[in-house]
Amino acid sequence: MMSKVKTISLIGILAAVNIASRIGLQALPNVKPVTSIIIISVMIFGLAFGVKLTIVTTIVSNVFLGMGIWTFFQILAWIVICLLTQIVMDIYHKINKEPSLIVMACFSFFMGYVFGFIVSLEQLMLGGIGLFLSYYSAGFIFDTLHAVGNFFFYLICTPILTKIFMKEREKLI
Amino acid sequence: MKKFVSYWKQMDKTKRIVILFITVSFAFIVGISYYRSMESPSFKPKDMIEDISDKKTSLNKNDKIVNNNQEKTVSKKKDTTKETVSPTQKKKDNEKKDNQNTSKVKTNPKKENKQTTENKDNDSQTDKKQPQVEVLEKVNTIQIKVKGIDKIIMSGNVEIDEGSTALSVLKTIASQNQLRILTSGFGSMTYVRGIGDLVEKEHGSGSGWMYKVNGKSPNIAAGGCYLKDGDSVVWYYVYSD
Repeated sequence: MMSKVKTISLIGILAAVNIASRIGLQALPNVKPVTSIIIISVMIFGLAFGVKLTIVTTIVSNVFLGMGIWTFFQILAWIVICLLTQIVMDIYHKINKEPSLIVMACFSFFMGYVFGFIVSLEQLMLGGIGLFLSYYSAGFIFDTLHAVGNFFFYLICTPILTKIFMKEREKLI
Repeated sequence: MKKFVSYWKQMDKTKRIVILFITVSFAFIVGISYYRSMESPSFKPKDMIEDISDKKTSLNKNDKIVNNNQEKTVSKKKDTTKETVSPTQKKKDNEKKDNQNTSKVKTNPKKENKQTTENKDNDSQTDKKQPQVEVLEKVNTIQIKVKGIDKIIMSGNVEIDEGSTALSVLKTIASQNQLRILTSGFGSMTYVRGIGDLVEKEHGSGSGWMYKVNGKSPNIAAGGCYLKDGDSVVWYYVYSD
């Protein structure tokens, strides 16, 4: 188990990377490494770490980008993604294999669509199922951009982050 | 079942909390959206009642009359327009209509003698014919007004049936007055771009058509807003120049 100090410092660093990249890449819609980094950190450090990381990065980055009812839905969407990642990791632990790169990259591709679906559930609350369907179908192209961005960011980030956190992985496993 | 419970107990704490949080929030979302979709736009503010009371009394006259012949002559006498297609007649509860009629009579004390006597006649007729009228079938109608820039383009009463929406009554009254309607989209997500000569975005970048039912804007597209008997629909043009 990680000590609390180490948790806080690691969350701080990863959240800073997330927030800076989210604000810096504002111009490209939905192309952000946030989802990939959250998936990688859940794979390395576990579910509790992922949940804390999502809450910190969402709240702080929405201070810059605009706060609203969508904040709750973004947090919910990323927590669902954390849970799904943890379930996949449990399956890999049972089979006693290492998670392969390509499979997890495809997994993060689908997580882009899951994120879009849950965030547009907000419209179901506001205006009924008509608004939900129109919002979701209008945003489908943005979800595709998110998914493609996830795929490439996962391929870029995994070797770097696993090398950095190799020590932690040895300690956990 | 036992396997489930044992699996639940041996899951570590964070996973349990996360799964509970997700299910509770999804239940919350589905519950709120279901609750919102059950609401329907139906209440009558008093200013709308005084506006349309004269049309309502002539409508009520039509409802209470038993004979078909009398119905035809009364419809000729009325000055409001009405759809001449054979009405789809349905059985409905008359109590609500009677209550509305009496409340409207009370809010308009200053009327001509003739009209008050007619109202009283209607009331007595309803009192007498209450048991009989329930057996009869009734025509559902609504009022519709279309307001352009500083004037009313069209107004009238339109008969409705089960599937009538704010959009379908607009189309019927526009076809009566020979005005065209420009729409985009289809089904319950149709958007009205223009009625007659007034098209959106011609009088300012934010100009266009909006509608209200019973004085309230329902937050749904016109094609999905189903109407009930006695509703009043107002389509109005917003502009900014």
